[in-house]
Amino acid sequence: MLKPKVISQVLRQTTTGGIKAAMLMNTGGSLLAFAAASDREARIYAAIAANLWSTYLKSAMTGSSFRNEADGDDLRILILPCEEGVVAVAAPSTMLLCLVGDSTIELGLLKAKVEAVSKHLQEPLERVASYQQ
Amino acid sequence: MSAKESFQQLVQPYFEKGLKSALLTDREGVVILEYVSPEAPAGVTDPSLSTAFSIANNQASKMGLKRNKSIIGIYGLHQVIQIDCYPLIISLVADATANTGLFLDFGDELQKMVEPMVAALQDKH
Repeated sequence: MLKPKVISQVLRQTTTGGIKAAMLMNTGGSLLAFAAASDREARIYAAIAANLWSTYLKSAMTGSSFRNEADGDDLRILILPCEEGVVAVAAPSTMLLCLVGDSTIELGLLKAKVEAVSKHLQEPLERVASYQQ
Repeated sequence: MSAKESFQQLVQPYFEKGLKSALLTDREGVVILEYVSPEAPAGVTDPSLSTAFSIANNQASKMGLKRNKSIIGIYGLHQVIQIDCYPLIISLVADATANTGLFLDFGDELQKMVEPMVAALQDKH
């Protein structure tokens, strides 16, 4: 089963080198675990990131082969560069992982980190995925 | 040289580097300038791409990180880079494995090119 303490530790380990917050949440934006300066900040990031992810998923449902999950063109990562930071979102199993970096972080590094953490969490989250449906 | 021609001239060299299409649209998805590669997947000019960005850009600007400048969506086979030049949107579709940084720089170049158009539209608003 999942050990919440371990998930928090994994997320805390990612908050180095310009990453100021890391969150694991469900597709509705409810937090499972987080590492951030305050829980209020984490809740805001999680809610908006989940909403953005679902906006892009819904927009892809056009029936064409472009951005179509059935053809292997499914959404893997969303990166949002803002004036004072960058947000990256990925989907390990049925959950969402969100990393927030400050404006000094390189996009490639943020992408590599979100991919690595997502891959790390994929397998344990897959085991509990059937219970979430 | 017309805006369409200079847009095509700017975009064309990037087709060799994995770019599939470049679009300049308004926030409802109406195409203003476009240049689509023959190899581009069907649906790249779909308005849903621009409207999704329009909503997402607005929401992302409320995260406490100031204004959202662009959104990069990486899919299994493609990547979509969308840049905000309010009230217009630049959308670039490329191979998933292509150099994202290169297209972000190219997006900045396109942004400079459409600046007069953006200024004229902002005057109107």
